[in-house]
Amino acid sequence: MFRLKSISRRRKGFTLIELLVVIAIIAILIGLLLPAVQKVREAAARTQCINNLKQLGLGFHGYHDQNGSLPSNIRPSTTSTVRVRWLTFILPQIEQDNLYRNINQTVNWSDPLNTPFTGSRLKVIECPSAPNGQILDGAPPPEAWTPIVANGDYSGFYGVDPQLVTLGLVPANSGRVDNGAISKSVKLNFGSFTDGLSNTLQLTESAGRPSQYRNGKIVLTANGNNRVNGGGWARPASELNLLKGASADGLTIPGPNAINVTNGEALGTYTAPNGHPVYGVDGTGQIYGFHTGGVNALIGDGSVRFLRQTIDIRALAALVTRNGGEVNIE
Amino acid sequence: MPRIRHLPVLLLAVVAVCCSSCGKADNRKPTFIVSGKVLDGTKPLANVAVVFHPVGEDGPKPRGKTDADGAFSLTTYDTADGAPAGEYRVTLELWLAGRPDEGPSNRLPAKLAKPESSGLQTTISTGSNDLTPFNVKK
Repeated sequence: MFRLKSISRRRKGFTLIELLVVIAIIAILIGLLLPAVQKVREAAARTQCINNLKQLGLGFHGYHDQNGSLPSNIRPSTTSTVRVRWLTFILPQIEQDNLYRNINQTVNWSDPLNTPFTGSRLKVIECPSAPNGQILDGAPPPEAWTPIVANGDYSGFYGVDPQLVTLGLVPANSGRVDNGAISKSVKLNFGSFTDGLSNTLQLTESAGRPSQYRNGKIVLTANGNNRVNGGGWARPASELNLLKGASADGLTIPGPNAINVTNGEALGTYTAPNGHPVYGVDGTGQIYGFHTGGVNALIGDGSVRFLRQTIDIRALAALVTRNGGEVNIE
Repeated sequence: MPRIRHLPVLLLAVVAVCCSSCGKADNRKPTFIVSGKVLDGTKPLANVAVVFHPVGEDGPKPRGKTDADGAFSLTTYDTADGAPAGEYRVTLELWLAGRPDEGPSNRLPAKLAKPESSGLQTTISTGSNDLTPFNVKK
């Protein structure tokens, strides 16, 4: 009887120690859960990114079906002439017909007539893993840089830098300035993809522009002319120009490391009247994504592949060229 | 007691494993700082891509780019780390933007872009190297 009484008194509540133990266990469980939630969020963002690229791939194919060629990335000789990026032409094929009809193609993307539309965000060109919507892109020097156009993260290549041939990193048949899937002046058709559509890279990621990133860290915030040239979804200069690669630290261009090392070269300050001496008025971006271990890439046949950042630049250059005659093995 | 006796051995083993895994996995050659200049007659030449091709062996090709004063420093693995010692053939290229609807082009003679025909040769020695300027006008 005496014993029974003592037990019943004990069961009236929890001791402080018991409560602390329970709280500690809950804390450990939450600690285990949080990284998993982060991982799921990143996986969802990556899937959304793949979906965006697939949409753009369908847009390219839809445009080709209707016009018999891909749109060119028009960049005529002076800044007073009209410049229209390929993305503007395929807007009707990605269900942005209203936006397409509002953009005036007889004036530049930076004209006040167009900036209400080119300055609005376009979800299909934004990778959800990338820092979007914070910085807007602007015109290249010698025009004054004012942030007027919304950013996009997906871009293609004009070709492969011949300096990579001199460095012995790619074979001579890969290193040409005009053998990429995007052309500045010619309306390419699928017949000119002699390597095969499934062996040619159409688009990949170059996120974070116009700010400059190296190996996961921001090194330059765009706030004027000194920035990575490119980013705006309506700008032809958002194309990646030539595949160059960099040293592992991202500082010396060209080099053997092409993915996620740097998102491009900063323009610096210069006074040349026709743009940067090396880049002209073209973009200075490089392949860069905010996914772990690599970037997503749209292939010419409409499929999307994950390119690992450890890929040999020789294999990458073979993928970038549409008519290099390389054997694509990975 | 036996546990405490084994502790230093265990710690040593952990440190050894860490050191071996953190060490350089790739076999990098030791590099020595190299600086030089590229001139066009007496004028400095900017934006020239300078590549050093090792003679008689396959190896990394140190490279550099000239600044506004025509000066360059070589990079082999990390920026401005120099080049391994040895004999090199040197190539020079000057890729500048073309007309806006065209790609960039090399503005220097094509023979300077090939190690067989450039006629430029130099030796990198151990220690700091300050090379005699390369002149594209000869």
